[in-house]
Amino acid sequence: MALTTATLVPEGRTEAGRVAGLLSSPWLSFLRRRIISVVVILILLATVTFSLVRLIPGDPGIIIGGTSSTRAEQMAIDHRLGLDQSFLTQYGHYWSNLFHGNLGTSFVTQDPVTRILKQNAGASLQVAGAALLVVLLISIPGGIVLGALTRDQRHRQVENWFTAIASVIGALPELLVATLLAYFFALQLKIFPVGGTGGLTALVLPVVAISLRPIAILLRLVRVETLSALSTDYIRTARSKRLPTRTLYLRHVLPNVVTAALTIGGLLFADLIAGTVIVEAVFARRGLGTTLVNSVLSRDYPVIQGMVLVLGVAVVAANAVVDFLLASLDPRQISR
Amino acid sequence: MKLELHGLSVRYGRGRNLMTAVDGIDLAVPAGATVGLVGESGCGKSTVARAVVGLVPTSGGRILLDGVDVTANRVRNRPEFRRRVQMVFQDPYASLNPRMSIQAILKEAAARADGSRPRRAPAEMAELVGLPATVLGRYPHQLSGGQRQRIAIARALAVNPGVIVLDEVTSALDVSVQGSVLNLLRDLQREMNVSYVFISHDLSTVRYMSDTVSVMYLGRIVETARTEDLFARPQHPYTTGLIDSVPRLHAPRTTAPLAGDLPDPRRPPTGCRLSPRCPVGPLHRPDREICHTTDPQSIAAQKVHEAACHFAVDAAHAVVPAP
Amino acid sequence: MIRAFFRSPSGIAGSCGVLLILLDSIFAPIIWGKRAKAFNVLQGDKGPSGKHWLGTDRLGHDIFYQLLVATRLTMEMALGATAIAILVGIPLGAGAALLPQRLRMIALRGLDTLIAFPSLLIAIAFAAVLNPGKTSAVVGVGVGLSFSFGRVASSLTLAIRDREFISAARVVGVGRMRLLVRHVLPNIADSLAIATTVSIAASVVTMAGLSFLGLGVQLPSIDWGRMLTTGVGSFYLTPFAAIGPGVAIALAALAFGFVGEALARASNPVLWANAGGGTSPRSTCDADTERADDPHESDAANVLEVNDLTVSFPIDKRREPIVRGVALDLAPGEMIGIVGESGSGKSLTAMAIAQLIPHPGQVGGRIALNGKDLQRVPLKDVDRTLGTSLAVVFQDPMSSLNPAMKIRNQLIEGARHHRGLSKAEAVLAARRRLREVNLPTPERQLERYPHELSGGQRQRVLIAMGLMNEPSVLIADEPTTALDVTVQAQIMDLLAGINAEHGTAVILISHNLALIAQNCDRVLVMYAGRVVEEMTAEQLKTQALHPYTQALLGAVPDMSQPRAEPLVSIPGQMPDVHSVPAGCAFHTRCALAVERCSIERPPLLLQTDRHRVACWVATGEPSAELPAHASVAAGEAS
Repeated sequence: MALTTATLVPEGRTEAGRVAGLLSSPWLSFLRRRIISVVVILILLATVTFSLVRLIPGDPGIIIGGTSSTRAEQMAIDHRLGLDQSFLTQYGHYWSNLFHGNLGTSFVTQDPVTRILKQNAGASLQVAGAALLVVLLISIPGGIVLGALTRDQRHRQVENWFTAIASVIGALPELLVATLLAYFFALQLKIFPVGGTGGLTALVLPVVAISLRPIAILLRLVRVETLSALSTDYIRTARSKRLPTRTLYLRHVLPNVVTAALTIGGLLFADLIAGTVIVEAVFARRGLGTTLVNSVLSRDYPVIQGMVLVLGVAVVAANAVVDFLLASLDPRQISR
Repeated sequence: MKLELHGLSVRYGRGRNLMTAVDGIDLAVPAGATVGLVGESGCGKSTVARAVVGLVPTSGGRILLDGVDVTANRVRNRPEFRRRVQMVFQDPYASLNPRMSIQAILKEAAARADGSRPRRAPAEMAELVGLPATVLGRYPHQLSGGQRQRIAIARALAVNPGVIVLDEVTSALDVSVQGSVLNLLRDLQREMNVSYVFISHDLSTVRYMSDTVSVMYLGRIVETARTEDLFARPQHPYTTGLIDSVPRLHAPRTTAPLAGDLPDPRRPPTGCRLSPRCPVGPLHRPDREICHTTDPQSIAAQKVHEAACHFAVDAAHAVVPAP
Repeated sequence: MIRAFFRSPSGIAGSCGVLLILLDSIFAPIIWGKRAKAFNVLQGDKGPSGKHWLGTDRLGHDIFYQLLVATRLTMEMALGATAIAILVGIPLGAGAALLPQRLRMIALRGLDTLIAFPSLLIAIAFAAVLNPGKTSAVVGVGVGLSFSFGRVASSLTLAIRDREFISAARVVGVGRMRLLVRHVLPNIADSLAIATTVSIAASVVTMAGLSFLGLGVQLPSIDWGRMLTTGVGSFYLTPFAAIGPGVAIALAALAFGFVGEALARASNPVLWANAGGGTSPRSTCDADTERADDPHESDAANVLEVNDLTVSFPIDKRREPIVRGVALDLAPGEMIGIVGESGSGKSLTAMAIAQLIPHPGQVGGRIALNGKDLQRVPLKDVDRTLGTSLAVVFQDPMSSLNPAMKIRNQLIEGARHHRGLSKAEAVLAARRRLREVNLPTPERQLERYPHELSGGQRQRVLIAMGLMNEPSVLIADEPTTALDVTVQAQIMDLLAGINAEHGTAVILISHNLALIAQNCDRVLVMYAGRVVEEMTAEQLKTQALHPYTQALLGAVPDMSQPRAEPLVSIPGQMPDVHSVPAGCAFHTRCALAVERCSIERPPLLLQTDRHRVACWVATGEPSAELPAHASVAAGEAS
């Protein structure tokens, strides 16, 4: 048996070799790959945003200014959008403006787009962030408890009822939920304000309205993941060690379930951002959603471009954060 | 039908992930004979099977069928070739389409047989592999593993092939069914004069089925000999180690098993690929530096059993140091 | 499959709903078109009444009829968006999956990023470029949903491409076209159908959101979303003007969602095989009264004693015993083997001893570990008793270690919990154990994750983990089946070494007779849940009595057997749990079976020294002239 030991000792671990090993360590190569892909995606996103105005069929000047506008007015619009220059010059300008943090000014209010974004982003992020927190805090423990309760086909009644309720809630449009919540809690019971942006209480109904569907989805997912984690061989190994139930769930089940929950959590965050667009309209809240819709309706292109860019960056950033968290939770992700 | 492989190579991936799964192997399967190909997981034996039937493209070497060059992947995807070389896969659960009845599976294969001979009816084919005609109306999931593997054999036979590649055909089967499937394959060979390439990790099964045996290690064939010779007088230390590792009913194991694990096939060791694990190599005999520096593959032809080992004769008589 | 689909309540409800919606969208505009358009300003903004079930809007349109008529436009748009999603998504995904490996990785990552963009936002971007309206909504939602379709298509393509039956069909010479039509499509049709229904449900909801924002359908056209918008405007006057269309949207989404879910469940062939399969002939195993076999004499020195062990599971509402009356004893330092095929109950026996039978399985009988009857041990001490005296090594070292935990933590947690070791002490012990199982540089191995080790190394880690609390019994369940032969030999040497050095008693479970004969002192042969023969390893080699044991010995080629001899063919296969034949379970496959074998179960009786066998023929009593104790059984069985 001594032979085995001898053969398995890795060959010559010199100082230089160790340094080289560190530089080519899986973590670094993982980070490098992820950063490259995020940069590529951001460049693509900016290019799509840039092309948005140029994709408008027909003459943007006429479409934006309206058919009643004079030729001079249309020329002015084209000029302000930079459409009177060559394509490459436009693209170059666009990038140099981006680097200077200049996203143009609104057609309607004449305010710089960056200021409009700054004013509105906070309110929307508050709702989306609070909702994400609520979703994760309810779904992950809830799903694990449900999974533990219904493991090995126990409590079939609980499982059936849960599945039925979750599918119904999963099918309710945010729009309807938001309206019903406003009706009962704001108008009939007068517990929460009907609308507005100020205060914690004004946050409750919008957050509930957009969280319900993601909670229903994530609860089901976490339950199923818990069940499949519980049926794995490594849980059987852990059981054979006779660990207390608490340890079993916290150390062996939870990390593997959180991995799955996070994968879908990134997607849900994007969904929550979309949800804020709707609830902001229902509860008459200020925010990115309202701004986006208004700018589309008033064809305020600089604002639209800024919005698309910011929302896109938010989605990409959420994805990157999820990737990073996943890699730190599940070491197998790194070598992939 | 005679099948020959000359210096066959198969490479996967590229750059850092380039892997030479099969590295210049020679194999000759005479008509009506069985050649066994044995080795551990990752040695490339299944890649050989897939390359022969044209499921993966070759990267070098030649494949001859009755002396005719069929190396080009295009050629091996032609119906004429398909009719002559068939394959049976390891997992009879995965290799039958779950949405097709047994009748449809057998009919589909028979329809591709050479038109000059009368086509066999599905019932006849089922009977050939020892199954009643009642299985024809069933679907794969309604059959047992042994029955499924018989259907897979019947499908391969349906086109009247000259060569069948059998890739680990019994390793997914229950112990009590393995015997009857192996018997069936031996009987069918006698009846139909078909050649087999019998691939397995199980030495005793390969010994039972094959006329000659080639031993593979990390993409190379390290030893080839007639079955009796190979098992009675192995020349290569890897073959010796492999044979000694097999548990036997009547004899306790006397030697220490080969140490260590299979190295990463993407970065095989220099010189002899067994050198880091070899019980008669530089690990135990520091004077045998040649094993690290010189690849013994080229001298194989001069050795008994074409054993690719610098000290092949040694290996046969060597007393492996006790642990 | 169809039967399985309609078996589920949600499948029936969903398909009824979908049918109603489709019929409504075809016929409603023809039948009620006029009524929906009729208005009366004087009757505006009224609540529900007998005449107007959902009340009226500001101009006095009847909301109920409007809702019915608006179904067509709503469905047209949802179906249109889904059609775009399919037409764009499937080629996109399938194409990405067929790219060469490196490009494929990039394309799939890109697709993953695109999925993250909610279709509502994509549709808004389209509304910004095109004129906001029907077209921009349909195209926008369609493109937004196409990415998830692409993802489904790409994973299906990848999965199908690697399926062996596709390779098998290619080898037989099946052409590309037939391959696609006969082999690929039938196997992915369900998944695509599921994705389609889910996508319709999603587009109904997204479309409503767009209309609500004013970026969807523009007046005078109306769809449900547009009606909802109008309704929300007058919500505080007539809430039903909003609730009506809201509920319609939710119901439509539910109906399509239910159909998708029911399809998903019904397309699992394992499920519908059970649901639609015929009933196999079942034995009257109740008549097969359990009777104590020749009892093992109890020996206080045994580390493990098992008597009359049964494991049963409910199958088709009946409780079926899968392990029936197994008895075994294990002396300190002894190594015994349990051999049998899959379905013989050998693994369940081991799991029952280790108290790891999952719900709803039930274990009966007596298990005593180090003289302590586990049923008498207070519940709170059972875990400690088992955790410190018994360890299990499982078959698949690849999946038996927690992938998200370092080797160190997996090794020390048991010792810390049961023996109260400090972290430093436990790590020290872990290092010692790793050295014992011949893993080089234990310090480094402790900091690694399972995926960084080879199969053989992982199995060594699992064995080291089992040894952490110095157990008196180690159960090794097919510990080498997933490993190569050379590694198998290393692991067996290791187990034998542990057995010899520490005096740990070992139960080795395997289907490989030679492996067991080579390594164990005694052997138990199991068939259909029972021990049919028990003997020493020496007796197994030359004096096996049971026809099943003999057949097993002859069914696999052995290295020392002459090659020309044919192998033993055992007809048939191991019976299912619920179709175990009456009498001797093996009699239907046995060449020596006589009439008695099919009527009366042979008990496991002591033959010669330490050799027990359960067979009428082998024990020389095939006739009905029975010894007194057996005739009782015959009476019970008839």
